[in-house]
Amino acid sequence: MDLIERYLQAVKFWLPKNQQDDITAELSEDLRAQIEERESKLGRKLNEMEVESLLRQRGSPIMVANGYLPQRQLIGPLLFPIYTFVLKVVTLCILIPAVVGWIAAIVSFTLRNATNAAWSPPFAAIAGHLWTGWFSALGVVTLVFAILERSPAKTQILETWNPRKLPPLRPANAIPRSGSAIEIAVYLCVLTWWIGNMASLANLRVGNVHFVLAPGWTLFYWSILLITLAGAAISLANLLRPWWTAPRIAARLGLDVVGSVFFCWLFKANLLVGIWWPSATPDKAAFVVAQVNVWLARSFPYAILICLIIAGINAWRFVRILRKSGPPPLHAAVV
Amino acid sequence: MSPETQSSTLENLKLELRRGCLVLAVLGALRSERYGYTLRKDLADQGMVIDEGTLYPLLRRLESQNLLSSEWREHEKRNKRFYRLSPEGKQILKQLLAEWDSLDASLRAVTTEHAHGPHRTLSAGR
Repeated sequence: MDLIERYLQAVKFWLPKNQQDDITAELSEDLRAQIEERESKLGRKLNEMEVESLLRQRGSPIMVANGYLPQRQLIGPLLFPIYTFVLKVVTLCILIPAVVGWIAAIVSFTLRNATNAAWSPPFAAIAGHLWTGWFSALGVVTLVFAILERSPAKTQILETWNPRKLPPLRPANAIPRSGSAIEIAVYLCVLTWWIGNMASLANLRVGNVHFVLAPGWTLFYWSILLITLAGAAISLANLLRPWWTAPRIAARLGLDVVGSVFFCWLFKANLLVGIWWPSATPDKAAFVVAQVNVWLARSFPYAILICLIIAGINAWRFVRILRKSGPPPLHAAVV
Repeated sequence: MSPETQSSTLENLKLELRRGCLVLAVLGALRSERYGYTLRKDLADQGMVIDEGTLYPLLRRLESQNLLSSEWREHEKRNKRFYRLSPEGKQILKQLLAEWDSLDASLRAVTTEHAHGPHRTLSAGR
C-alpha cells in the first residue's frame, strides 16, 4: 500500500499545518474502508493497478486538499469586472501613444532618408519599452486590485454609489471622442508623409529607384490630398460635436465613394511611364513598367470589389445608427 | 441547441440544484451518529450520491459552524471519526426543513401556475 501512503503524503503537503494529521487520518480511514469493501466483494486483495485506479477516481492530491482550504482569490468576482475594464484602459493608454510615436518615427525616417541622413528609427527600443511598460502597468494594476480586494475600502466603493451620479444615457449616434482624436492623428501623419514624399513628381524616388509618372499623377496627388483634408475636417467636426448627423454621414459616405473612385482609377490610369535603378537597362526598365501596368489593370476588378465591400459595410453601419437613433426616450422628454 | 449542449446544460443545472440540497441531506442523515464512509454510503443508497472530495470538507465546515460534533473512536479495531448533529445543528435543521417545505410549496405553485397559466389568467380576468 505504498501508493496510498504516497498519496496521503502528497495531500498532506497542501493542507494547513494544524489540520494535516487530522485530515489525512480521516482520509486514510476512508480509503482503507473503500479498499476493504472492494476486496471483500472480489474475494481477494486489490492489485496495484486497481489501487491506482481508485486513487485516480479520488482526484489529484492538490484537488483533494483544495476542498479543505478556504476559498481564496487574488481578485474576487465583485471587483473583477472593474479590474478588466481598468486593464483595457491602461493597455489603450500605453498602446496609443506608442503607435503614434511609431508612425511619427516612420514618417521621420522616410523624410530623413530622402536627404540621405544616416539615421534609423529605434523600432526595437520602442517595442522593448512598450513591452516592459505594458507588463509593469499590468502588474501595478493587479497589485492595487489585490490590495483593494483585501481592504475594507472594497465594500465602501461598491456600496457608496448614487443613482443620480450614473452617466447620462448615451445616444446610439454618439461618436467616441477618442476615436475621432485617433483619426485626426492618423490623417495628420498621412498628410505629412504625402506632402513630404509625393509632392515632387520630378524627384519621386524610393531608395535608389526613380519613378517617372504620367501627368495624370498631378490630378491623383491633389485628389488624395483634398480627400484626406476633408476626412480630417469631418473627424475634427466629430471631435467637437460627437454625434452623427445626416449631413455628416452623407459627407463621410460621399468621401468614401470619391476615394474609392480615385483608388480604382489608379489601377487603370497607367500612371507609371518610366522606372530607373542603377543597374537597369532601357529594355529591362520598359519591361518592368509594362508588367506593373498590366498587373495593376488586372487587379482593377479586385480593387472595385474591395471598395464595394468597404462602402457596403460603412453604409450598413450608418443605416443601423440612423435606425437606432430614433426619437428620444419618453423620460428624457419629461426631464 | 444541440442535444449534446442541452444534455451538458441539464447536467450542470442538476449539479447546481443538488449542491444546494447537500447540506440538508448531510444534516438530516447525521441525526444519528455515523462516520464518513458509512454516511456517504447511506446517502448514496438513498439516491444522494456525494463524492469524498465534497463530503469531508463539508463535514468540517459544518463542524466549524457548530452544527456538527465529532469524535475519534475505535470501531471494528480501527479509529474512526464519528459525526453527529449538535443541539445547535438540530435547531438549524428544523428551520432549514421548514424553509425547504416552503420552497417546495412555492415551486410547486409556480410550476403548476406556469403549466396552467393562461387558463388561470383568463379566469382571473373574468
